[in-house]
Amino acid sequence: MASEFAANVVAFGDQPGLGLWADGHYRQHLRYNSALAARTPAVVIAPFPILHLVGLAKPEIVFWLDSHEKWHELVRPFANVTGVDLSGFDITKPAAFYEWQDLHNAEHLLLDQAFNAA
Amino acid sequence: MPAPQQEQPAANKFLAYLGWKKMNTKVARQNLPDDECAWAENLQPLAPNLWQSVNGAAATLTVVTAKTVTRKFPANIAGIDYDIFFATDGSCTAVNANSGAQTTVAAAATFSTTPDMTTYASQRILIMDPTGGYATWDGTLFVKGGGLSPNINVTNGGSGYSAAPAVSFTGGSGSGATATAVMGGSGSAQFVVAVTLTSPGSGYKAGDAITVVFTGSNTTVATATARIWPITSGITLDVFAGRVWWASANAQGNYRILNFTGTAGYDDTNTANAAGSTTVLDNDLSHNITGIRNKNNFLYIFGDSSVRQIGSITVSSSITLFTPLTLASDIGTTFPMTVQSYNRLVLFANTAGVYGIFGASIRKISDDLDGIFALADFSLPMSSSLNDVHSTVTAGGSIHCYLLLLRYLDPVQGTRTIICAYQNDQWWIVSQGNALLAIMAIFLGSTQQWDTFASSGSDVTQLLQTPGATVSVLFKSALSSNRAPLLSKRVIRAGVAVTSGIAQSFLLTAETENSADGHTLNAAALIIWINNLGQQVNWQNNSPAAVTFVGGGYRFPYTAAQGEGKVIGGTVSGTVSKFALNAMAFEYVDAAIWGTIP
Repeated sequence: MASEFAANVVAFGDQPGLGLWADGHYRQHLRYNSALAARTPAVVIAPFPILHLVGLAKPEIVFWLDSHEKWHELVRPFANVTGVDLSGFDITKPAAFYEWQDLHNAEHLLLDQAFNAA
Repeated sequence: MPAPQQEQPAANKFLAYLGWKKMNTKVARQNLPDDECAWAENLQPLAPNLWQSVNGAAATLTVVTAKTVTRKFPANIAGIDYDIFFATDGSCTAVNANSGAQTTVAAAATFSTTPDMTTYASQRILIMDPTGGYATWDGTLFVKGGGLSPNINVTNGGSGYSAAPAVSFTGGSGSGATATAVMGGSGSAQFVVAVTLTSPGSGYKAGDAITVVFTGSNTTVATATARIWPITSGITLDVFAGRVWWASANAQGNYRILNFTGTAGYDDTNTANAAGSTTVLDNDLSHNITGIRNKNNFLYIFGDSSVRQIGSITVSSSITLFTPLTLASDIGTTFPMTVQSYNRLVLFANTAGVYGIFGASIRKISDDLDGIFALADFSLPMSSSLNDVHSTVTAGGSIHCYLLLLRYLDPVQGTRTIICAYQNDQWWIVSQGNALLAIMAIFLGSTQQWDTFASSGSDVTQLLQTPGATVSVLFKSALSSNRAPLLSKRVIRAGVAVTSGIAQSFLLTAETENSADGHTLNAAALIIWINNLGQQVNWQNNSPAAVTFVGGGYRFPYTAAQGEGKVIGGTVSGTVSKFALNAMAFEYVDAAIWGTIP
């Protein structure tokens, strides 16, 4: 069964697409958590509040980015993946949004492979 | 420069409504900005200066005699599009959406007034009902609890048949089930490829073991398995990831149990095949699961005050695994018939308004309808549709719309049903029947577009369908002070820019907060024929009587008008077709500063 995470469903300003992306993305992070929880010994990571991204004010987006970065930082060592600080982008601006998307998607491809969650 | 003491002529001023961004019913007309209108009925916004009349309703497709609709669902079975018509007497009738031909699915007293329905693989409809339980119809055969399932699996086709063997069923506590064998091969080398149930019988009970018996000359006898149709009831269902999901009641009578069939089909309740159930224990499901809907690759589980979502499912050791996410703990609906997928959103309505699910985020999208929802009568359950609305004046094109039917306590026209139409973040009103009871959407195979079927009782009528039909339009602008709220204004003239495909008239009412002055205007122009000598040509028919030619097009009719107040606006109304409203303008003079205190 394919995952719901689709990197190509969102363009800047596309609210329905952003909602679908955020939904699938959150579920993908839950898959990583499940994969880690199934290890011996189990690695338990609590979900971070990054399900909702549509309609957020700028301070809420900053909080979302920070929470999301923390989740990535916790997961990276178990996947032997390194990545940039994904909280350091102003995704309310188109250029930064697309740059962030590219870097973020690239990291998720590696995480998907590491956790067999594609 | 006028001489002293000479009366100064009042300077004429103008107020023009040149474009409307949207309809907004949330605030009173005098509180609206000039670029919002207070009401737009049967006028679809195509541009800020182009609000165009919609197609009228088609002639009644058919009448389901002596029935009153309670819910309607679309279905496609073997290439035929149906309007599935559930009636208040508990019956169900399938209406061919193209021909209007009727087929009785279930007799009266079979279902409650709130059945739910979905379609399985264009093969059959599946019905879930608190009274009638789980049932199915494949275009021919109706099966419900107590009968055998039509899902008969041939495990060995046998060999050496020269004709179809008789099929019978033994075992179990029921009787009356009949079936026929479908044969492959030819001559004396035929074999059974399928078994078609022709009557489900009755009286079968859960756990009954059924044996399929083939009687006929053969070399090797065919074998098949049959099972009873699941005996269960519920309040809502849908098909997701190839499984049937439904909500059933717990011991306290609350619909909190989420059930799902196994991997062997719509009738597979065998836990060995990963069928199962889970009870929603969380307290944010206040009372009941009210709707289960498969939309946009997710299964949404609506409660009366919450929404959950299931994504992909997996099977591990015959157990179905999935992750439900709670999307909202304080927003839900008791109106499952309002749920639609719309442009990658999932839309639904409750008594507070219409909401869009953006992936996982739920946002209210109907603030502009707050004035309507404040006067809605929810004793008529809201229902919804999708419609590709075609323009009637400009050629080509259509706009995909979400339609929400509700009963409106209209302070002017009295209680009536209206349809709130949503497109491109704008709302407008469709009115094609003051006593509609239900609407629903069918994606018609014949037109490859979304169309709306409605019922006011026993009728089945397609809305927004007939380009030449007249519709009643009603458009109310804001009431504007024209940036001079202190000045009282005296209206002199009023006019409306319109585009019309035919010669027709309409009513313009020039309004202030104190007055309403109505005038009939013509959206037409007299066509004058000139010959090559430059002379006017007059025509007569064979009566003989003078014949005049009148054409439509862009016009700006105006009239002298009266009224005085601090704010000015207008209402356009009439019964028209192929009509578009482009602008509205008023000429006035200033009257007294501060005016008269009423």
